[in-house]
Amino acid sequence: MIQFTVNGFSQSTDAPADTPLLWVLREGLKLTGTKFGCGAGLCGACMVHIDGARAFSCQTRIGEVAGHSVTTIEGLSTDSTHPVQKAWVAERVPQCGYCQSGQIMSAADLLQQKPHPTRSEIVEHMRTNICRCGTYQRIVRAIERAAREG
Amino acid sequence: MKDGRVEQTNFLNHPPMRINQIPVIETHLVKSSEAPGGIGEAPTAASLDWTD
Repeated sequence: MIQFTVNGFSQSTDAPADTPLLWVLREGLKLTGTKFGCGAGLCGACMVHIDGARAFSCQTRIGEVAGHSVTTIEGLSTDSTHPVQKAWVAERVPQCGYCQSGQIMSAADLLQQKPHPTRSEIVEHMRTNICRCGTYQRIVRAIERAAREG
Repeated sequence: MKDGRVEQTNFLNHPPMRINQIPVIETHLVKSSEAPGGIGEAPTAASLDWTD
């Protein structure tokens, strides 16, 4: 039995230790805000935070998070008022929306490390996340807004 | 496509543009007498046409 914390709540699973964290979140805990994109750490749709730092949940085995704290898009804020979430709404970032929870988790990780990133630092950090719709320019604008407005 | 199947298997061999690869994109709506069609997908074509 593996015990860990998700969005502030203690959880346990009897899934094999090499099960991807993404599977446990989506299929076990029914936290479906985190998406499956490629299963290979290439697209960023599965991005979550582990102990406050971003991680590809498709590349993280559940055994690795034993005793650790996971935050998903559902737990980023209790009422969608995280600065990145507010900026995402203000800039109307999403088109199809599939990649957006991963984008938001990456952006929140960036601002935690660097509250006022330059445009090139934003681009460098966000290159882990693919957006097929091409919302990249609005992603940059939203992160700049979140840094500005908090 | 080869033998009726898509050859590419994942983003390793089908790389869409990433945020560090896109050009500056400006959107201009153009008046037209054509029948109404889709708008807003221009960046999609740009991002999928990328090949390294």
